[in-house]
Amino acid sequence: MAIEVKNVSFCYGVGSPFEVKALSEISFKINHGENLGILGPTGSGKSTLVQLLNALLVPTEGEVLIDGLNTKERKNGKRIRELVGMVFQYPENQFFEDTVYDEVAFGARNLGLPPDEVDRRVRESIRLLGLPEKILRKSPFEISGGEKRKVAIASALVRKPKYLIFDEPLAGLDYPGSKALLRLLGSLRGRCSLIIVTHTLDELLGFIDKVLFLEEGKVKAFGNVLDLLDIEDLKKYVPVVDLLSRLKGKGFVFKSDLMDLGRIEEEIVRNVLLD
Amino acid sequence: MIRLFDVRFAYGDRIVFDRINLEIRDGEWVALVGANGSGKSTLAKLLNGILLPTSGDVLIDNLNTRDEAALWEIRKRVGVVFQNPDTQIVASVVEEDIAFGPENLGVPPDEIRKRVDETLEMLRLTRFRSSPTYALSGGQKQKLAIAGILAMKPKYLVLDEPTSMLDPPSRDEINSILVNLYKEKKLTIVYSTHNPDEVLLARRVILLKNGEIAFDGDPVDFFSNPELPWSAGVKIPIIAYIAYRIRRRGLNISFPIFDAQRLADELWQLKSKT
Repeated sequence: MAIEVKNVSFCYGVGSPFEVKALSEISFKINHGENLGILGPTGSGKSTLVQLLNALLVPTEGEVLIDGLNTKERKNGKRIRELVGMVFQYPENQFFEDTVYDEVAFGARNLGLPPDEVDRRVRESIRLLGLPEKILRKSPFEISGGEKRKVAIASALVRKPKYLIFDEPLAGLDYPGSKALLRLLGSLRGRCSLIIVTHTLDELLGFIDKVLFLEEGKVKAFGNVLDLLDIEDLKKYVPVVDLLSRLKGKGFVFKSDLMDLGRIEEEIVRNVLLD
Repeated sequence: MIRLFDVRFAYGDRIVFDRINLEIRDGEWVALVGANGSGKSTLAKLLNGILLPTSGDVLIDNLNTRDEAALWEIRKRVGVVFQNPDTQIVASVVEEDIAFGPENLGVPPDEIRKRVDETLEMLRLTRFRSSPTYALSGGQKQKLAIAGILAMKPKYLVLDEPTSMLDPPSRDEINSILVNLYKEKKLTIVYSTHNPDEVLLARRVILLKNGEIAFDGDPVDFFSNPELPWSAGVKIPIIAYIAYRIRRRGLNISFPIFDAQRLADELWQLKSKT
């Protein structure tokens, strides 16, 4: 059970004068249960990659396998979109139903589930996100920003995806809002694999098992955060990577696999106090 | 000078500001912080008369936003840039979008051309002058929105979370442009943000909490007691956060500390001593 990306290249407008190569010869693998962070500057191919993972796009060359299903085969499309959910950036901007209930139920109804199953799943997702049942009767346009974000996530979870893609999930949230969302993302471990496109790696360090760094359509690095301490762009835009990189240069040794802020604190203290 | 006297503001039953008094002097760079819903955007809209106070007064250089005859002049002096660049662009070509503001102010054509050239240059957009606005990236669009406001030569620039939808390179570029503008043009800047690193660009922080100003002072003082920003739903810079936690574990490092290099140096010195 895994997402496998094998030698994937993708061109927009193949054969036209506007042909643009967005990705070239990308390979990596994420096992079910692992969480992946995707980073890279604007135009590095992040959005293209994400669309390849749920078969909105198919590779020009190479293949994408979702639990063994090839995205190139049309007959797999429906199953792949069940397996891979997607929460876009500012997902609340895409609300269109009259009530939160219908908004959340939309995805489940599209799977062709019977009404009582839809109902069960709607209530389950809402509970999972810590939202009160009474919110279901409200309009999705009259609730707070943090609640909107949660409702948008509930409407993806209702389809029970095994892999869930997020594009900048923390964008525009304040401190309590992002803390609540981080807690929520943490609680999804085991339920589904998270694939998170982000610029704010600092706050997400605790959930991400592996980081994929893209630059100009190529994989610049893939691995644990500690394998990425030498990448200039990461140091420049992710202060924690900058700090760890500097400390490593001064002889600090980090051994933890999963570097959330708590572990980073532990490791720094240990390094200072011990030889 | 911008002055707020006993400003109360409510959307229907929901009171945003109970009674705010505030003075922003010419040439200041003020960061405006607070949780979602604390009133940052409302305050921005009160400053150029998009919203009027429920009671109390907002004065821009002694012009009252309640005075309809003064509103034209107030909007000339106070330029507001919002969060989402897509909602602020009106024309289909970059230079025409910049010209839109001064045109509306009745600026003569020669002068408009001069201002368009100048602002394109300032915002590093000159090579896009004839581009269609839809083809710009998010960062470029936000720079265009700022250019459109600057072409009206405002005295006060109010920015309401101007970088929250942008990636870090675009964010850094816009902020460095703003820092230059601030120095060269002697603008007064009111900048609302959720990003603690952007708070550090300012000389003065105003914290909004429960309809009141809960802090008004130096950014370094603001972050040196993290309980205060946290209690108001505001993050502190991540390096300061790590330093704070390490300090609580008994390691003797200075606080607040915002810079990765300085923290790394201090930690290394501590390690060498033990």
